[in-house]
Amino acid sequence: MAEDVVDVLIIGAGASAAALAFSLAETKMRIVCLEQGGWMKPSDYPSNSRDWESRQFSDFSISPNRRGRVTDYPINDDASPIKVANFNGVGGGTILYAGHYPRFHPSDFRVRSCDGIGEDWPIDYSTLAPFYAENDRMTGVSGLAGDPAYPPKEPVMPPLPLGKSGQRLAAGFNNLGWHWWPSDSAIATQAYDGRDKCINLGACVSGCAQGAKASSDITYWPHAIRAGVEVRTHCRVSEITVDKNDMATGAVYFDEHGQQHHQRAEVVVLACNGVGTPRILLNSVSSRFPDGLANSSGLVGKNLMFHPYASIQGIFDDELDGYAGPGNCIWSQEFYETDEARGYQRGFTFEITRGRGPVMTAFNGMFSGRIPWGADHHAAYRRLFNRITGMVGICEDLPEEHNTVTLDDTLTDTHGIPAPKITYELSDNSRQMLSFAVARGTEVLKAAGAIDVFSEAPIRVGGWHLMGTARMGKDPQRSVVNEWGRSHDVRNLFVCDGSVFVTSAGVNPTCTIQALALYIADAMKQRLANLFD
Amino acid sequence: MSDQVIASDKPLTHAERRNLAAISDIMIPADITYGVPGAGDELIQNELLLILRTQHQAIINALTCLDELSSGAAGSFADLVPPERAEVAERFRRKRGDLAAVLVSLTLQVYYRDDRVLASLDMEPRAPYPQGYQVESGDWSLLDPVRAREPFYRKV
Repeated sequence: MAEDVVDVLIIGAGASAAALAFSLAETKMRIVCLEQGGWMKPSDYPSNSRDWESRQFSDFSISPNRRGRVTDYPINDDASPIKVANFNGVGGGTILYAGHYPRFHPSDFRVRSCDGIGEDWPIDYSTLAPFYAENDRMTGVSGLAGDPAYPPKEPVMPPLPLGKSGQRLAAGFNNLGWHWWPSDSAIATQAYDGRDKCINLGACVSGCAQGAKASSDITYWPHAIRAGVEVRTHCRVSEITVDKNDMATGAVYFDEHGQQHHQRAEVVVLACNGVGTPRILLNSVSSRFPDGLANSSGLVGKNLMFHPYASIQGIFDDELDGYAGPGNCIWSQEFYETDEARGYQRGFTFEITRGRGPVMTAFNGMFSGRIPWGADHHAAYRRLFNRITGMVGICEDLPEEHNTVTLDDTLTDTHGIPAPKITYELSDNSRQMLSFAVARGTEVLKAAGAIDVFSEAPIRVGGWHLMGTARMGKDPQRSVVNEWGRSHDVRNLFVCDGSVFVTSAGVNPTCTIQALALYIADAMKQRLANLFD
Repeated sequence: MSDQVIASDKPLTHAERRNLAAISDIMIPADITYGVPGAGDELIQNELLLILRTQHQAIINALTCLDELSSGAAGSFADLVPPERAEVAERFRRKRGDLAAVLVSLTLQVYYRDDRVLASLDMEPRAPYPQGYQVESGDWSLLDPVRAREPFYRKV
């Protein structure tokens, strides 16, 4: 295996890798994917057992530092008010994501042109539109056509139920004359492509035992593997190797037994998310690339964007959905576009989060002081149980070079590979936007009949979205990869994950990450004869 | 409280388990009205001991702190009379809110999955999968005013 040369070596098996591998498979090239985690078994997901909420604090925590699986690597995020959330395994972050699946808007690709801040993307909405549509079909997106907040698009199956919570909040939005719409969701409401429909387990964010949630291990990967792609699990890449012509020659990795290998390849594609990808590039140091691979711009690891989240939750007198049903429900994009009168640039989406289970209800109540210790505990708990619903405001983050992923000086993973270090500051713009989101969220909850409201902004553990650290662009001085994902410096090295994002938009990124991966794969296929020119 | 072997890498001593049960009962006492046990109930405590492994040191520190705060009285925290226990528990929460938070977190994780507690909340004592739950589709006429809006996304 050590001297075996494959055509395409993909590093990482998450959302972007799956889409890219699926698309490239039709070329019949030999494609190998190295993934540091393993395959997930639906029977292992917490919703199979009584401790389904408790396991969100241990082996199914969104924090790799708390989860501490052997397949995880540590992340030093002490210097960030927002902590990184991820998952390492086939499917990557989609194993634990909620399945919110909004597209970007046309304006999201033209931030500088529209608002004089951030950067414009080198591509636009129309470039991605056909790949969004293909991705919707592969993923199986539920939703409803006709959303006035978007250009026309056609979800492939009906929307998730409104439930009691959705109806309550929809009425609140209507009372204020604000936009709302059923969320585009990567959750099947009908049997689809071998997956069964949602049965409202309510545990989407710790893996879907039903298989209704479209994690990429059960959407793209089975198709890609049937088409000949090989996935090698428990293989952790430490660095990408290069030759004297500045071409990538493959990657060094450790297998599950700790044995080191070098996998040679004609083309290398990084798909490790906005933290894992710069980590590997910065660790790929050589005399030709002393500052890390593909880093002549100095921008590898810079411009890290999260989405700062505000959580605004209301307590109601009557029973709502509680523990039943997916978190996804409806959203509002009333405040999506810039209105300078609000005191900040850009905007956010409200995503209704439906309800919570008995343990999380108790957490919210006790840690917010609404449920006391002692004799009054039970009565106070019952005033909250099945009576909380609310929303998150997912705020657009802007690229700032001082927000970075670097290599930690001392912290390493179990293979001795330097761990990533996050240095991130919340901007004044984000603070203003979060405050505005909390105020408007409070307003709509009261308009819906909430008797009490509590909030958190930013959500400390909410670093789900990792973007911008190897961004795309036409100018090699201002970007790491070109407009179709190829490194400016290393002509057979590609990046296809959220690292290439130029700006973050005010929506969840997975839909756009996968559409971009399909687009990059298509660009590669179109140029196979002169891919390295 | 039995002396059975606890399935943990570092089981608590008998005295530590008594203190843990005592502080748990102060946090969530039994309630006849709702027909629920206190969090110091033996079955709940056994579950708690199974999951505290990841926070073992914090629990030890919390229990040590409780004993230290009790040292001026009769001895261990669990041996105090109820009013004294309540007073020490209050001081513990004020002095070591971080350790109290760990205790609360672990206790809630096991208490609110106990069969008796779920039954009192009219919840079936089962895993979500495979039966799932029912959620009503809802009144989609609520969407009518939004459907009537003109597209408002920003043209570029």
